[in-house]
This record gives sequence, C-alpha cells and structure tokens, in this order.
Amino acid sequence: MGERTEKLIERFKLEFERVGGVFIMAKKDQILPILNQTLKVENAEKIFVEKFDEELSDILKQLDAKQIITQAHSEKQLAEVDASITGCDYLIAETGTIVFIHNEKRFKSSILLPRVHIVIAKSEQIYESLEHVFEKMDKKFDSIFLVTGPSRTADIEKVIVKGVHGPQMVYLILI
Amino acid sequence: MKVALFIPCYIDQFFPDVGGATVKILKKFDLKIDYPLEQTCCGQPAFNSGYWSEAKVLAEKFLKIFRNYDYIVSPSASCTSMVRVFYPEILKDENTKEITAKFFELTEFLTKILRVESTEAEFNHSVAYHDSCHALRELGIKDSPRVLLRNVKKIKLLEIEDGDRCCGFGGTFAVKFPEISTEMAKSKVDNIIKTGAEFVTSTDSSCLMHIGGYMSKNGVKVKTIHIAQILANF
Amino acid sequence: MKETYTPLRFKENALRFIQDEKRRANLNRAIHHTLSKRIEVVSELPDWEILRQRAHDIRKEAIENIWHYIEIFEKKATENGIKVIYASDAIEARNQVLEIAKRINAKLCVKSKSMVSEEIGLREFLEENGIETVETDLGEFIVQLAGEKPSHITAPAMHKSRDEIGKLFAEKLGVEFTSIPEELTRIARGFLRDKFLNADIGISGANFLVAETGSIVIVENEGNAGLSTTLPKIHIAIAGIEKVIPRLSDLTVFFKVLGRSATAQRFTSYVSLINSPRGQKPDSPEEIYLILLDNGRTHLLKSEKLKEALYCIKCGACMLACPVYQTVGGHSYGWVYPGPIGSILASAQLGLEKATPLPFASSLCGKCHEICPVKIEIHHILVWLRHQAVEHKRTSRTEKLIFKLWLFAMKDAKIYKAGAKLLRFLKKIGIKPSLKAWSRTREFPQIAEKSFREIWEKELKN
Ligand code: SF4
Repeated sequence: MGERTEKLIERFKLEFERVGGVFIMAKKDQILPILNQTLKVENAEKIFVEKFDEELSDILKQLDAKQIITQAHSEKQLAEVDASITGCDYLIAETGTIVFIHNEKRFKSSILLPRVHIVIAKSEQIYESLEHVFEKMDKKFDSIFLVTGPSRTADIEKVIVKGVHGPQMVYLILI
Repeated sequence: MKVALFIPCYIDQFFPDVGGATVKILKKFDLKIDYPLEQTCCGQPAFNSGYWSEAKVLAEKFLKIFRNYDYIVSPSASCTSMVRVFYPEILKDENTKEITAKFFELTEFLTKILRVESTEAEFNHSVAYHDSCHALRELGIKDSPRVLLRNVKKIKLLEIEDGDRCCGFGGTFAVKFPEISTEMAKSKVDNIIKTGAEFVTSTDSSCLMHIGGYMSKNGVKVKTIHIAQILANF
Repeated sequence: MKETYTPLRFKENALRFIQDEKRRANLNRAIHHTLSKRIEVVSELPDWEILRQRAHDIRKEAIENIWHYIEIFEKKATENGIKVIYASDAIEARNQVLEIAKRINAKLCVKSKSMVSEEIGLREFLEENGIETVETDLGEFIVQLAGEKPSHITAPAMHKSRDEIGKLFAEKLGVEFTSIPEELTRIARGFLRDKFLNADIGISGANFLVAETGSIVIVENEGNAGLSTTLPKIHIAIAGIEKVIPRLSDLTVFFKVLGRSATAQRFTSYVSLINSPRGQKPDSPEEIYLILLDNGRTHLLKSEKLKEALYCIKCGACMLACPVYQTVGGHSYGWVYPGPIGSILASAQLGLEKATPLPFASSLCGKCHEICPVKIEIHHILVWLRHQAVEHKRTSRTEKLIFKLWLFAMKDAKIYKAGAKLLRFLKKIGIKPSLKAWSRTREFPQIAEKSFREIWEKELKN
C-alpha cells in the first residue's frame, strides 16, 4: 500500500468515525471472525448478503446467522432483516462518505431498510474527494447514493438521534 | 487636502457635541476643514422606507454640495453607507461613484487615509464597543474604531457578546415594529450589561440613541457616548 | 391557524410570539445550538469565502441561462426515462399529482420533506381527495400530527419542546408518554416503516437538478427521502424551475456549503442522485415523474433585482441568523418561506398586496447577506421592494405625507433651519412632539440647546 493510500485511509477513518461510523481494517482471513463478532454484538440474526465475488461469497456462506438471504423477494422481507452486508463503489476520504452506484445487484433498500449496515470495501476504492470520484466515474451512471454515517435526525430539540429511518449503525470493513 | 465635514441632521440637532468632537479631532491633524452650510440630510430615512424619489432629490443636492472636495468625513457610518453604497443605486449618473468614493466615516478616515492609530486621548473608564450594522457589514469597518480606542490612554475596552447582532434600530423599522425593535434592544442591552462597562460607544449616534433610549427607560445605568467624543478627549 | 397564517397578519402574529416565552426559549435554544456549530464547521474551511463566491457564480450562471439549462436537463432526464412535466401554478401542479394518483388508484402517499409541496399545499389537497398522505421527515411528521405548519425550512419542528412532542405522540399515536428523543424517534420509525412499505406513491422535492446528467438530487439525513423515492412504485418529484444547475461537478461546491449552512454538518448523511426508474434494478420505482413548478418564478426572472432571489438553495441560514426571525419565529411570517429570503419570495410570488408588511419587517442589518452561502444581497433587495411598495401605493397616506413634508424641509437648508427653530421654540414653551411608537419603550432624546451649525458658525469656523 502506497503512502498516499495510507493517508487517504487515515483521513477516511477520521471522518467516518466522526459521523458515527465504525471503521475496521482487516485481512481477508480476518473477515469472517470480525463479521461474526459484529453480528453478535448487534444481535443480528437475519441477515442479507449482497452478491460478492466467489472468494468472498465462500467466506460469507460460513457466517453465524440464523438466516442468510442473498436474494430479496420483496422489500417487506428486507425490512425484517437485522443487518445487511454489501459492497460499495467508492470511498471518499475528505468526508467519510461511501458511494453506491445502483445496478442489478446493488440497490438502495438493502442499504436503508436493515437496522445495521456492514460495508466491505477495498483500499483501492478510496479517493480523496467527490470531485475525484465524479471525474473517475462514467457519466452514464444509473442512480447514485452517497452515505455518510448512519441515519440521523436533530428534529427534537437538536438532540442527535441515530437510526431514524435508515440504519442505526454503519460498519466499514476495509480489506 | 480639501476636507469637508458632513454632520447628519439628527446629530446636528440632537447631538451637536459629536460634531464638535469630530472637528476637534480633525483639527488636531492640521486639516483645514470646511462645513458647507447648505447640507441637511443624506436622504437615508426616505431611502430605507422606500421613498426613493424623495431620497434622490437629496442625493443630488448632496453631491452638488460636496462635489469639489478631496474628502468628505462624517461621524456616522450609517450616512456614509447611504452615500457610498446606496447613492450609486439611485443615481444612475456615471460620475456618482467618483464623488461617493471620497466619503469616509471618521474612524476609517483616520486610520486608512490619515494613517493615524491614536488621537492621544485619555478616557479613564470602561467602555463597550458596539458595532453598528452599517459600519460592520456595509462598509467593513471593524478594526478602525477598535485600534483607535485601544490606543486611548487609561481606557478599558470591552467586547459585547454576540456583538455583531443588530440593536434593533433600523430607522423607521423602530417605529413601524416597535415591539420587535424593542426586544432586539433588550437583547443588546442585556449583553452590554454583562460586560460591566460604564459606557457603550459606537460609530453611530442612531444606534446609541436607540440603545440609550431603551436603557434610560429601563433604569439601566450604562451611559452612551459617541466614539468621536472619546477620541477627542485630549 | 389558517386565517392568521398570512403575511398580512405578520404584526399580530409576531406580537403573540414575543409574548410566548416558552416558544421563544425553545426556538432560541435550537438556533443558538445550530449557529455555534456552524461557526465551527465553517471556520475549518479556510477558503469559505471563495466557496461562497463559486456557489454564487454557479447559481448566477444557472439563473441567467435558466431556459437553456432546463432544456438540456429535460432532454437528458427524458432519455434516462424520467417523465418531465411543467406546471405553471399551484393548481396545475396539484392536479397533475392527483391525476397520476387516480390513474393507479393510489390510497397512500409517503412524502419526504419538500418546501415546494408545502408551497402548493399538496398534502392537504391529496387528503381532501381521499388519499392518505404522510410526512416522513421526523420534524414534518411532528408538525403534521400537531396540525401546524413548519416554522423553519430545514428544521420544521424547532419551535417544539420534547415534552410537547411526547404529549402529541401519546395523544395522536396512542403510545405511552415519553419525552426521550431516542424513544420518540423509535416510535416514529415504527409507525412510518409501515407506511413506507405500503405506500403507492412517494413524493419528494429536489435540492438540485443537474442539467449535464439529468439527475434529480436530494439531500437529507434521516433516510426517509431515500425510502420514499425507492419503495413505492411511483415517485413524483416536485421542484421549482430554479433548481437547475449546469454540471455534475457543481454539486461538489454546493454539498460543501449546503450542509454547513443548513444543519451545521460537514456532509449530510444521505444524498440521492436519481437518474432513472427501475429498469434492471431489484428496487426503485417503475415510473418517475418530475414536476417543474413555476408558480411565480418567471415573474422573478423578469426583474433584474428579484432574479437574484432565485439563487437561493433553501438552506435556511438567513432565517436562523436574522434577529427579527429570532424574535418573532417562523410562523409569524405567514408563509412557507419565512425570514429575510421568505419576505422577498412572498412579495414576488404572492404579490405585494398580499405581503406588504414583510419587506418592512427588517432592520436591514445585513446579517442574512453575510451568512448566505450563495451571497444573495437579501437586505438590499428588501429595500428595493419597499421602494416598489411605495410606487404601488402600498404604504399609508399619512406616511407619504410625512415624507413629502420631510423632503420639503430637507431640500432647503433655510427651511430646515426654520423647522429646527420651531422645535426649539416648542420645547421652550413645554411642548415636546412625541412619537408614541417610539417612546412607549424608549426615551426620545431632547433637542439640543444649540444645533451644531450654530456652534460652528459662532465658535468653530475659524
Ligand atoms: S437566501 Fe441564502 S441563506 Fe437564505 S435560505 Fe437561501 S441560500 Fe440559504
């Protein structure tokens, strides 16, 4: 990993944690225990897992969970899920933002409906700013969703409460 | 250097000492000053109330009177902003800006044109400085009065919490919406009291008239004094 | 509520609010909190002023060439599969929504925060037509339950305390009383989750429309806009025509200034860039409609002076910073957009005859301009509107007469001097003309023994 990437990761971590996200660096073989531990802490039994590459998919099959869904048949079903595990397209260091571009396997309701959202990302996905991401991105994109920390509100006396309509916790596991 | 003095109508009639202090300060720096007697009002009350054609008549008169001076100085940031910022808005004449650009509020004239940082005055009191909105936001006058005040001997200069908040005067606003205006004066005065100062000063007698009017009605003992009167205390 | 909710009642409403100490305390606590956090997140950007200028320039470019960019936007969005509709006024926009709803026989709509839908009274209209319409932004939800109107454009329930909200939930949702914000939020989540999953239509506003890519951009924190625009099979977005911006990259500037100005955040939790309906995706609506609303905006475009008000990105900072707003609260203005910018929009969109007090309800202190992330000269536009009010005879005869007399006196130094002499004479014989509106709460200064000009002539001249 280059020095530049390391700096970007550091910045991302700082910003992401500042908005209330949980950042975890992991090697491939650590993913399973970390995920299991996280699911346990969050008391998550029903989980949704996005389609990953074969290697990751194999790992994720071994998760300790009562029920693993890989294909949601309805949004109602997703709404009953405790946690979702998804990938992402880019990370933005400057703001601690995770970028999701919609496509057949990546979609918004799996990000927003469950109580806990766990994102698995790779260090080469990290960019300094949104400007850089926009430059890099194909302009013919489908819809995009930018997520910066958990769902939050300050509508009651300016007290910040997490998990209004979207997830209460967002984890980012960086490989 | 040909310098003219503009003394706004309400200072002329209600606070003539502020004019006197201004003259005293300017004379200290060996300036020959002139006070054209045809002057009355810059037109701001009409302008701010929407009576632009009335304001325009006075603006034209004003420029005629002051056309031939190198500088025009006034102990009022409010009138200065009327001339410098708003005359070009109502007078479409190309030359307007040439004349209005020569108009300065007293403290900015001292620090920026004369490059003076002290009037060698002495004032053995604690003083809270109130930023008038026109000084602060229309003209960007923030440091000039503070530098000059800081260099007054024996003074204890204090800052007001939330200092850039309006005192609620706003010209005819104060009589059109007296309750709102008074509430704003109250917040301002509460913060002035908190400083513990004996005096509150400003570049504008209009703010001081409002703040002072509220204070005397409510038995607050803090006194108002125009900045020129402190700076002329030598 | 309804009959007092008009700009014409500004003064009475303001008075009522001033006397309501509890409300004022709620409001000012919330304002203070946001403004002090804002200073923190603004000051960490050393190039804040440059950013503001860029934001201003982009908005200017967009508004100066609005029809050009709208054309590009429409072309792009249509290519992407979004149906773009124009609505010239509130009635047209409401009917377009109703027509879509009727076609699919919709029973339930979920709404995310949208000031434009507030502007056209959409929720009330749909409900009158038998379609249940639920606000899903927590603040809006609270305000809807209470049967009130939002008091601020980004923090609609900021005038309410946690106790009031707890009582409201207990009464309207049949839950046990609690005043813990976390609990209250949980209750709302549960209640609204159900609505999301069963809604036929999702209605949203838009923060920006990107011409280059045809994207509808929605900025939010709670995730309710994300859900409203994803779960129901139809999404209807309503946006004022002024929301268009030229390029995708422009967003990077606005994201930096908007979050900081609106909620004192570095970046809002969620941003949706919506480009196309479902297609091959497992979720998203089958159809997306975008209603481009005029409702008086072309009237603003026609005026060199008022045009600038359309740069507004509805962050609400000028309201929070305004000492008048802080004193009278948002409801007093009697219109969806309160505060300084609201006074301009009300005068322009409703017409001066329906909004006359508002341009005058300002001390012109300029705080609004200073804080505005797109540098609109709000206070200067307000003075200009006063001028319009005078020109259109919206001020009283007495006032007009006063200024005529005043001008008569000021036009000529001789008459001015004579007038001053008269005042001195009156004072001597014990008559002091008094102005009740001033002197009830403030002393008026005494006229001086000698005017400055007398002193000058006698003592200072040489
Ligand atoms: S006028 Fe400026 S400060 Fe006020 S809401 Fe609009 S963008 Fe924000």
